[in-house]
Amino acid sequence: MTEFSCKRHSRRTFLKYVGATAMALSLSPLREGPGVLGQQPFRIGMANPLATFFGEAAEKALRLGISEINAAGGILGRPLELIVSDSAGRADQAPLALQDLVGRGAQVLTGFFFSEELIGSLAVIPIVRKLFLGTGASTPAATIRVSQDYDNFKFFFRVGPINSFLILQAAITFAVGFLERGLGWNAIVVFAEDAAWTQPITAGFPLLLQAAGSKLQVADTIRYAEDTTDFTALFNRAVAAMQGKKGGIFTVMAHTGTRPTAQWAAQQVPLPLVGINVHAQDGRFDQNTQGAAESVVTLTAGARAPITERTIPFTDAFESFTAFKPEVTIPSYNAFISYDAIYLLKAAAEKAGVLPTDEASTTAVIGELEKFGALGPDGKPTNLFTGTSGHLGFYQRGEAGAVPAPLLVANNLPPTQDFPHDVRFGPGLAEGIWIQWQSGQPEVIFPPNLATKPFVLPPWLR
Amino acid sequence: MGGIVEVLILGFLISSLYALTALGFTMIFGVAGVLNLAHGAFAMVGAYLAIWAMSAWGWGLPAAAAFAVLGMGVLAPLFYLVFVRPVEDRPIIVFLATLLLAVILEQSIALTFSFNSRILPPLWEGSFTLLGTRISYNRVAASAIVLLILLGLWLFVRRARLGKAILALSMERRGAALVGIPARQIILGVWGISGALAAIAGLFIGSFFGISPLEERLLLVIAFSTVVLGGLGSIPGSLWAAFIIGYSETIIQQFAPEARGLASLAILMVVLMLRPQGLLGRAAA
Amino acid sequence: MSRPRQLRLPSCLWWIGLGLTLGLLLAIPYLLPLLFPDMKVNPILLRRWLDTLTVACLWAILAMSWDLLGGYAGQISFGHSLFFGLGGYTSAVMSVLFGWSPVLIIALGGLVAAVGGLVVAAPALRLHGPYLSLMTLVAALAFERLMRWAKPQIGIPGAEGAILCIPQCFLTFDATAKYYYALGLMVGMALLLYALTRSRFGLALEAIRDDEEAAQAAGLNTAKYKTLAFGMSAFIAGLSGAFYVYHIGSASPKAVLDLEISVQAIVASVLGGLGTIFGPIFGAFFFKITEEYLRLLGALRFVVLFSLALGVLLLVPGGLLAKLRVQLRRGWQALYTPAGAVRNAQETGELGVGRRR
Repeated sequence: MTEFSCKRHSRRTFLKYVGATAMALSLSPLREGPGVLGQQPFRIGMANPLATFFGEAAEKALRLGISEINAAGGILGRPLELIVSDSAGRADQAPLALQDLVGRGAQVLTGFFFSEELIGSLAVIPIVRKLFLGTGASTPAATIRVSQDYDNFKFFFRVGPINSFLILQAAITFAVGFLERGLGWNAIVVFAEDAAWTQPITAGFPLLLQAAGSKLQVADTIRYAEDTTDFTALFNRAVAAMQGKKGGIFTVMAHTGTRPTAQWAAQQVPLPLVGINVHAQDGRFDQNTQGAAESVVTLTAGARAPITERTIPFTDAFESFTAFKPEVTIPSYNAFISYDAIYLLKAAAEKAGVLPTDEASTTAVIGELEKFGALGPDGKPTNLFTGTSGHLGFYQRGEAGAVPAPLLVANNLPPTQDFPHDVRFGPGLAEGIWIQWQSGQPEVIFPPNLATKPFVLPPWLR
Repeated sequence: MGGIVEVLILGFLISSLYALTALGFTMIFGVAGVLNLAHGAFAMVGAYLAIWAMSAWGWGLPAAAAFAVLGMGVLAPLFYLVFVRPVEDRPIIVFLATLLLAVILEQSIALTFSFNSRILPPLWEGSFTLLGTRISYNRVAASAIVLLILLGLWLFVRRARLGKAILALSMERRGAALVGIPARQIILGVWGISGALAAIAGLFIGSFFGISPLEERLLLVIAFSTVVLGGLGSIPGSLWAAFIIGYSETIIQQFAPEARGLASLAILMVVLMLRPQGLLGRAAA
Repeated sequence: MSRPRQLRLPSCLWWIGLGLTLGLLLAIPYLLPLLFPDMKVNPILLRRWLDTLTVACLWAILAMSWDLLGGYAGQISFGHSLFFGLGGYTSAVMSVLFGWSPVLIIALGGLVAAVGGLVVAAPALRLHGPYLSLMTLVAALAFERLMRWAKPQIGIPGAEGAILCIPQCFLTFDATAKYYYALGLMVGMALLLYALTRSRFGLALEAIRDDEEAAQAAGLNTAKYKTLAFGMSAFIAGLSGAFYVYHIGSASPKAVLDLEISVQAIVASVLGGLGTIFGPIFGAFFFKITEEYLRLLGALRFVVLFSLALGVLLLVPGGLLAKLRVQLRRGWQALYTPAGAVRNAQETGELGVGRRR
């Protein structure tokens, strides 16, 4: 699930860019040295598509976390410093960005919003051999590589979001627990963009609903091309399929989203729009769609709700942190995760007693990170880390059952495939948060213990 | 039955918008012999000019739209003067300069407004039902306006002095020069008209479907395909081609929404193979 | 050297220059750490630039292949990403399914792309100018859409539309070795193309470019030569795409079929100098090194990069290499000819710039 998103520059930031350009052009990048050991700051590198809202929000969250940690004395007495590099959403740029960061002295890496970037970087993770905390892309291929070639890929941990195989599970939980039992729906139309990541979802939805003992019916499955301009006919088809049934449209979209949402509102389609809508995770979605966002529901990884005791203090601090991009006020999902990543690093390094500066100390910190979410004797995950996006722990090596076996087999994987270093999904862990746009604000509607507002219908159905 | 009515209605708007996008492109080619690969970017920038006027200055839609159309009408000739005229005698350099201009415009808009789609508010809200198909008033209004523009353009080319001069220039450059048509000024004017038409198309696309910086590429491909399919420089050919492409996309979407883009490209390839000079083009371009 | 009259055609100088450039390219992995001592302390710094140069070599191959078709034969292709992608997808699929040796698979990638080139050439023979450009563009777009729609399920699952072939399509962890492989392929292709364009084949292509009907009237089988040019150009572009997948470890529509790849190939060719074979190498290196250097601009990078390219294009429309040749020649003449003869030699020299007559 990946998407470009919102971005706006004030004149001031523009001038800042001009200044930075002039500065940058006068310096050779070749001359930048590695961080000298000692009381020099410990460098954290972030590689993200910098020209997107998600890149900005992640950088802001990291800067916030680092300023807090530095104010409290750093990690093991060493202050932190953030350096960033542009991965441009491309498979060949991502590995260069990682090498750029490590070349400039980064000892820990974070980032990657696009799956394309994470997949491209797999070619250099065994080379740079630095702890890499994934904070945006959800492709399961990365943790499958950790499973296949542990010694070379042990450096990668996905702090969030849940991998895209698990998204189907989250969707089923929501459909059964909220749409069917909460709202009394008896049917949905699955409305998915034609991309590889939506395939397991459209194929698995009816099966897993049945397996969950649900009576919720999939009235129609519509897969549309990503370059679709006019959604009228598709919405009409959905309305026809829902004739005489109670329910709505379940979206599965990442690259598209704004366009169908706006047309749905303009045409006042008589069905609510719920589901996975990555564009709607952007804090400015309401503004981008000229208010069409009202009542749209999406899955996300964080929101201003008491997910843990740290969540609301973080969103408030994020809003009032003006040292970087003051115009970005609502954290994106990868901002929550990036902030968690930096504190997770702090916790693991302090437990290990070392900062990951070479392969031995990195391995020690990896060992500590792996203990978060280790299974206890009762088979339950223990030693969870309290982050802003949930109580975080990682799946272990050789641990089967993270993803239901039929789904694995359908994807040409062995039924016992493990996903080591992938963030654990489940109630109380990193669970999907379902938000609904209400009066220009994202409000949590599911899970029930975190809900900040009840579900509302689109204005024309009220 | 309902399906057929739906296709007829839905296809009409998209086809006429394609025609509008293609017209400016074909005019520049006809008059100046330039394939303006920044044409899609002109349409995209037009829509963003309106978005900018609305958000930065709080203008209403009509004022913002007028600003966008005028803005592109001025910007397009400016771009021509700066980037095309100095290298006019080298077709490959012109071709690449407009391509680079398109990429630069796309990246600059993305930097200022984000890569995400934006929506312009509809002209007219609400909808009605005809033979089981829901049709929004906005669609009716948009189709009517586009038709009026196409009609006005046709009258302009047939009746007005400048229009006739443009037509003459696109038919035979040297002959036009002989009868005293000032080619240089007219070319500048055509770039202006083309930019304004692109902006109008961009505005409608932005209001109807939503627009994003990368949409520029799709619009260029549409304009390029329409114009080549119709026969380069032929205005009626472009109109026919726009309706063929628009309707084939709409029909395919009805049956196989996931193959929409693929099928229209296949049709284009087949037609190109059967009629290398386009539908209404003169043989050997 | 003793007879300054002949210096207006310093072709030996030209070859010495090329030899020096090649020597420089060969020495780069050892030269860079000497120039920038940081690279010795932190080898990743060196790696980053070697990887950049590896990609530059591949882009140079792609740009040269475009130049054969666009610069020599005058067939402006908009769809070189199709051939690049055909090679790339072949690498990914074959390495996962059969795990043959990289040499074999990369060669196969070139062959598959060549077949693609011949298929495209069939309708292309009947098309000219913008019609041809559109046809190649449509072919590339159609293949990209086809791959997006088909979503081949090969390689590690869950790669979201990409064929991830990391353990199979792998050359070496050694960035220096990888750079030399790419450089070797580039030099080989450059020599091949150079020989080709100096042969009867090259002359025929130039004749077609300058006036196809006249060439036909003179008894040239233009269809044969155009088809061959398409096949050859596609083969070379396919090789670079196939190697590229061995560099990035995956093939996806975005990574190997994006239209931007075609755009960059055209930019590199034109910036370097059309119809010169060596020019596109200059263009590709200029473009890729600038792109990586501008990384420090963050979000502003691509606007600046493309503006720079446009600026160079408008200021030096004949291409960087041609400009460089003129400058070299001027410097040479200023050194070795009497002042009065300079202007004369310069004029005759400049006429031949950029294109072989």
